[in-house]
Amino acid sequence: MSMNHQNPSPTAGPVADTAARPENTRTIGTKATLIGGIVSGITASACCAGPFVLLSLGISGGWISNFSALEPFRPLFIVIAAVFIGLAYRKVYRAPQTCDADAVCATPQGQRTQRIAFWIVSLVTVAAIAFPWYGPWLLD
Amino acid sequence: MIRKHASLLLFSALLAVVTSVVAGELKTVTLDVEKMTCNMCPITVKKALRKIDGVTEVQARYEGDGQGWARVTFDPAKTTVEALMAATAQAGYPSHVKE
Repeated sequence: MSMNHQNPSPTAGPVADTAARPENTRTIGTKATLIGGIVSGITASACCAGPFVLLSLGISGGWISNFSALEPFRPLFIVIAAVFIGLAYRKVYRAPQTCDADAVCATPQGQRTQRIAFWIVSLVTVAAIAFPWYGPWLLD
Repeated sequence: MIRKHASLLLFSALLAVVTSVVAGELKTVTLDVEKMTCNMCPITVKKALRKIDGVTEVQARYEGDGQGWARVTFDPAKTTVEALMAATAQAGYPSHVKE
């Protein structure tokens, strides 16, 4: 919520930032891209699944109606999640040779762990994004 | 055999109607529900309404454009329309009685 107030145009902000400082994208780790993917995926579905999850947890309040305001941004967050997952894929499968000697990706075991983490996170993200579509059939 | 079952079914259905009428008339109200955004919302609304003591049946649907409805059958001796509207609002979906 507070982020929205500081940045009235979330579409223009981050894009302009990365374009101005391309070296920043290179310093983002695999973990960060995976966290970014999962957070964007959950945000994409917050409009519709949020009130249900809160109700199931026993949390109530008129403020919950604000979740529906996120609905128009659902496509945007889906795209952001896809970009993060794409970046993670590139890091895990395409560019392991560029990592430092002491990094996780330097060893085959480390790469294996990263690839397993990548697939788990991707599946969870897709499940979160698609929830508003399969949820009604699952829960009704 | 089938006929016997059918008449039994009819009888029990009749009995259910009679007992519900005798136990105190149930009321059915249709609420216009706001802030709905997708097909998950009516499920949340239904879940919220079914939690209320006195509510016997709930139907809800999302009709598009942020609007939907909920048809609630309840026992007026146990709950009120105001309580129903409060329940949907507390779940994130303000509602009011359809005119």
